[in-house]
Amino acid sequence: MKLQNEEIRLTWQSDKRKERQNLTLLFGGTILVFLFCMCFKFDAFRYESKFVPVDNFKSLLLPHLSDKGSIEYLGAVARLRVTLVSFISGGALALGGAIFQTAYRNPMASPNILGATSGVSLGNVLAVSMFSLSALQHIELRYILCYGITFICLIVVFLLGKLAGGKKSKNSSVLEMVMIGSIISQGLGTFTMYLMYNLEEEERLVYQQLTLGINMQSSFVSMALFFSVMAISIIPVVIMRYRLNSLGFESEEAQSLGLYTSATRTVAQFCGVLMVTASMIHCGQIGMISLVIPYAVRNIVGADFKKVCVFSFCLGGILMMLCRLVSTLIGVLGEAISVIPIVNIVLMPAFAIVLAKRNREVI
Amino acid sequence: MKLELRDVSCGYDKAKPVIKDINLTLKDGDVCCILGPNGVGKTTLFKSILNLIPPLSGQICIDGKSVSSLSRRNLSDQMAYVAQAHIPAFPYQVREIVMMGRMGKLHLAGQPTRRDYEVCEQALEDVGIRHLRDKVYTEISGGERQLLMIARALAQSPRILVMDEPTANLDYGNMVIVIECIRILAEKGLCIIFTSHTPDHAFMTKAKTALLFRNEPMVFGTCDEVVTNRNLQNAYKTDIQVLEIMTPDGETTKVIHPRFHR
Repeated sequence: MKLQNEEIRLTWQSDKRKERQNLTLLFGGTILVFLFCMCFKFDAFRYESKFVPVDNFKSLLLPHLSDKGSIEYLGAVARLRVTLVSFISGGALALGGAIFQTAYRNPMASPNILGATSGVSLGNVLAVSMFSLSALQHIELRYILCYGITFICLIVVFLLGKLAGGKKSKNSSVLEMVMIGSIISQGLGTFTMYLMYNLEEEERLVYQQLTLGINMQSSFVSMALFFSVMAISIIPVVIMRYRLNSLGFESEEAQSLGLYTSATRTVAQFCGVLMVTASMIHCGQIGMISLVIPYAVRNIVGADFKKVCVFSFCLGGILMMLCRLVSTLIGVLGEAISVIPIVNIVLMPAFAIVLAKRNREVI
Repeated sequence: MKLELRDVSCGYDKAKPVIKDINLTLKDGDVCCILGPNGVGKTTLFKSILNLIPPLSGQICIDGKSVSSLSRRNLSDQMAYVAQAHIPAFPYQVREIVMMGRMGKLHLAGQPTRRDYEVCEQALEDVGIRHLRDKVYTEISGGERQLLMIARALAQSPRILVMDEPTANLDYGNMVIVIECIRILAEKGLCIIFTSHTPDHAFMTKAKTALLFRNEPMVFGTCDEVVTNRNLQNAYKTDIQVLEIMTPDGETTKVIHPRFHR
C-alpha cells in the first residue's frame, strides 16, 4: 500500500521532535554542569579558597572592562581552561571508545588496542629519564615523545595489519590488527617497565604525576596543542557521524550498499587514537570512560552512531568535569588525588547497574 | 531493465572454476529461483552477479552495461543484496537499519533527508513490518528480521533484488511470509533472484528456475520445465518426485515429495 504524504510527515515530525527533546536535554544538562563546575565555591566549606568565586567570572564575560593582570581574571581563565580541558578530554575518551567499538563490532574494544596508552606511557617515562625532575617543565619535548611514539605505533600496526591481510585483501583484518596492536603494546609496556624501574624515587613520583594527570598543564603551548589536536580529531568524526555506522558492516555488506568503508575506517581509527592520546597526555591515563560510557549510551539512546557520538561526547565530558571537581575539592582538603580513581569509583557501580538493567530486560 | 549472464564462469581460480557456462536473461518482474546441491556454486554465482568477485570469463550485464564497469554506488542503485544471515553488532532500531539502505546515496558528511525517510517508511510498509519500526532488531523474530533485511534492500530503490537463501533457518510460518513478500515485490515489477534448498519455492513463486548440477551444465527455464523428477534426482542424487495437486480453491499446483525406500 502506498503511504500518504501526510502520514509520513506526521511520523517524521514526531521522530524529529523526540530527537530535538533528547538533544535539548543533553545540551542543557551539559551547560548546567559546566557552569556548576566553573562556579562551584570551594570556600563554601570554610576552607581557604584557592579558586575563583562566582562573581569573578564577570571578568571572563567582560574582558575589556576588567584588569587582565588581576588575580580574579587570571584565576577565572585558569579555571575555564581546566574545566574545558576536562570536558573535552572526557568527551574525547568516550567518543574514541565509541568509534573503536563500532569499527571492531565489539563493546570491549578501545583505542588502547592500537597502542595509545602504551605510547603515552613510554613517552612519559622517556621524558622523565631524559630530563629527570625537570620533565614537568619540558612540556614540548614530552608532547613530541608521547605523540611521536603513539603515531609510530599506529603506523606500524596499520602496516603490519595490511601485510598480514595478504595481497588479495585490501583491508586489514580486524583480528590481525587487534593481535598486532596487543603485541606491540606488550612490547612497549615491557620497555616502559624497564625504564621505570631504573628511575630514582623522586623521578618516579614525577612520572606518576604525568601518567595520573595530577598536574594538568595549562600553559599556552599546552592549551594550543591540546585544542588543535582535539579539533583535528573530533571535527571529522562529528561531520561523518552518520556515515560511521558503516564501520560495523561486513565488507560484502558494505559493498552491496554502495559504500567504500576502508578509507572511512582508517580516518576514524586515526582520529580515535589521536583524541584519546591527547586526553591521556593532558588528563592522565583513564581507560574506563572509553569502555563504559559508549556502552551505557547505546543502552539509553540506541546504537545509531549519529546519536552515540553526541551523547557519548557530552556524557563523557560531564563525568570528567564532575570527577575533576571532586578531585580538586579533595585537593583543597589537603590530599592530592588523581582524577583516575574517582572516575573508576563512579563508573564501576554505574556499569554494574546498566548491566543488571539490561539483563532484567533480556529476561 | 534486462539482466544478462553470457557464458559466465565463476570461481577463485581460473584453472578450477566453481561454476561455468551460465547463460540466463531476466527482466523486470521476473523471479529467478536458483536451485542446486550444497557446494555447487550458488553463492559464488551471486557474488559474481554483485561484482564482489569478478567472473573468470563471460559477461554479466545490466541493460547492456557490464557490472564490472559500474561503480560500487551505481551498482547499488541497480541491485540490492539480502544476505543469508545478518547479525548486527549493536542493538539498532528497525527504522535505523532500514535507513542504512540509503547510506550509499549520501555523501560522506551527509545525513538522511526527508526524502530518504519517505523511501524507508514505504519500504517498511511494502514488506508489512512498519508497526515494528521503533523495535530493537534483537527483539523481533527471525522472519521479521528477514523481512527487515528485504526492507533495507528495498530502501536502496534497486531494480534487482538478490537474495541468498532468504528462508534459511525460518520456521514454516515465517517462510510463507517471506515467499509471499517475494511474490508481491515481483508483481510490483522488481526483478528478484534468490537461491533456495527447497525446490517447492520455485513453484510457490512461479519462478524461472536455474538448476545447478555438480558435473553437468545448468538447466534454465520455467519452473515446470526445470523442476522435474529427472532433473531433481540428477541434481540431488536422491529419489524425489514432483506431485501435481489440486488446492481447495480449484487451482492446480505442484509439490515436491521424496520417495522413502525404508
